[in-house]
Amino acid sequence: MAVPVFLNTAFRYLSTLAVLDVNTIIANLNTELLALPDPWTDTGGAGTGPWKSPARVDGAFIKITAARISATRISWIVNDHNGMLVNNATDTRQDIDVTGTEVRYFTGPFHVCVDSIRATPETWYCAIVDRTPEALAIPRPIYVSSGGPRSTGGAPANQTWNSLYLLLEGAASYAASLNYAGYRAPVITTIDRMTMTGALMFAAYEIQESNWFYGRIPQCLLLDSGQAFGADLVVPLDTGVTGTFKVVGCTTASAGRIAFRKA
Amino acid sequence: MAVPAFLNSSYRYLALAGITDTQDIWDSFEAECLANSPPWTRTGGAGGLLTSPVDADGRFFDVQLSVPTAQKLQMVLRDQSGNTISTRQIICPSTNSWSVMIYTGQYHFYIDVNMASAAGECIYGGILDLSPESQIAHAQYVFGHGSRTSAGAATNPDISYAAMMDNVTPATAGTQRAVMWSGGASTSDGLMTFNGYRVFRPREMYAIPVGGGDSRYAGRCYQVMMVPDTIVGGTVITIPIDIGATAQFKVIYGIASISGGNRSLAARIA
Repeated sequence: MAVPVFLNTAFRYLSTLAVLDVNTIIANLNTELLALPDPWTDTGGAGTGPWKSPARVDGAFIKITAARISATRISWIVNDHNGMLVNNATDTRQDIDVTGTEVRYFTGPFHVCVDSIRATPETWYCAIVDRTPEALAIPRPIYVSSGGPRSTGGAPANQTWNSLYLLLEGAASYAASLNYAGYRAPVITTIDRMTMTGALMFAAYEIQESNWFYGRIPQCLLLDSGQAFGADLVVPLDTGVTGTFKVVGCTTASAGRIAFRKA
Repeated sequence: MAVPAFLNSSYRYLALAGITDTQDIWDSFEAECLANSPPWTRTGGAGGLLTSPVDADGRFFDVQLSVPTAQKLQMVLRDQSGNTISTRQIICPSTNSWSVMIYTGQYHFYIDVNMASAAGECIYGGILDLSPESQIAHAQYVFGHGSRTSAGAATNPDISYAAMMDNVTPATAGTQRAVMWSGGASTSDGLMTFNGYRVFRPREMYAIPVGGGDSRYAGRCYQVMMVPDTIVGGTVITIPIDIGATAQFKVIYGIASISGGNRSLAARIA
């Protein structure tokens, strides 16, 4: 056996309490991204991004631009290596509370997730997906970005885990949909994502649309919706190898939630 | 790596052509079961109850076939406790002969008929692979289904359905319990990789555990794979099952695909 490729990338995790200004998010994310073993690049050089991920062997990289809209609202822009806008809605926004919010950062060479733990958590993420055992770049790398948690206008939008932006086969630009995630479930939705004995089941977060299988989000797992936001779950990854994943704030769909790796 | 447990059980395959009497199917099926290694057992002489080999964990099921007419073949499938899980039929046309595919193994059987002049039909049953959990982690491991009810009605015949014990009651009419591997839309099926290779998936089942509640994962069917439904019945597919190891599967005629999955079932032949 071996740890699956999509779970065998570098990762970091940070939690910061009582964040009062999104500039703190920008600063902390900068620190986390530059601290990775194969660090991202702060292309602006001022500790505020835009950040460029380390290039994959096929040359694919993500570029993330964050901006302070107000003390409690941040905007995210994600570009692929061709400069195309992945979250194709001008930008995607995310809020914290004026009274302070815990913010969790899940980072790696090919994934970033920022989770603001409000009463209704708000989660933003993006990634280059893994398509092993096939060639990474043929016919092209695949990028995704969360559909939410807020629109450019600031309204809550597309907060379910299965809402994301994807460049479809033959499309000229990225588009958002609820239909780009594989559910690994029966037609019926009255299910628990666990075995008959009550053991939790974990599945890769697989991206698929129409006839096409696009790949898996690195260091991210699909699991049962009964698990609380913020729960830490120890998952066997290989014989004698476990990883710890934390449930992030995307809302439930198909009896599922998602978790990113923290340890 | 290693061959997955659900593909690491015994199997046999027999193809028949020019069949016009379901008694011939029954006879051939019985011979195949008894020729398996490990062999099935027969109770009551020719035409008797066929019981799958009891495995190291004490798991087995049994099946009794009958031929109400020369065009009808019926099975009664029971679990290890004697619960009738499924009573289903296939009905063949009287206007032409049929080709028959019989897939058997220590944990499975599929009797698939290509009717030629009508849609294919199939009756089947088996035991689920519960790995990585213990094979005795739960007792609801027998599944089965077929194209028609015992009254000959074609109900719930597609790949999403199967009969199993739900809680403590056999759901004999079949329930949509098979994992369809689709997404949020009926067309989000991920049937091919971006390079154009077909994606093959195991057939996984959910059932309501003893005590009730939501359905939960019960296990995988042995020696079958779900394949894109663009591959027509009878097609032989070679699938990598481990590093340097491949297996051949033939697409079953008699288990229909559905929108929201768009997959057919293929059973192992080599």
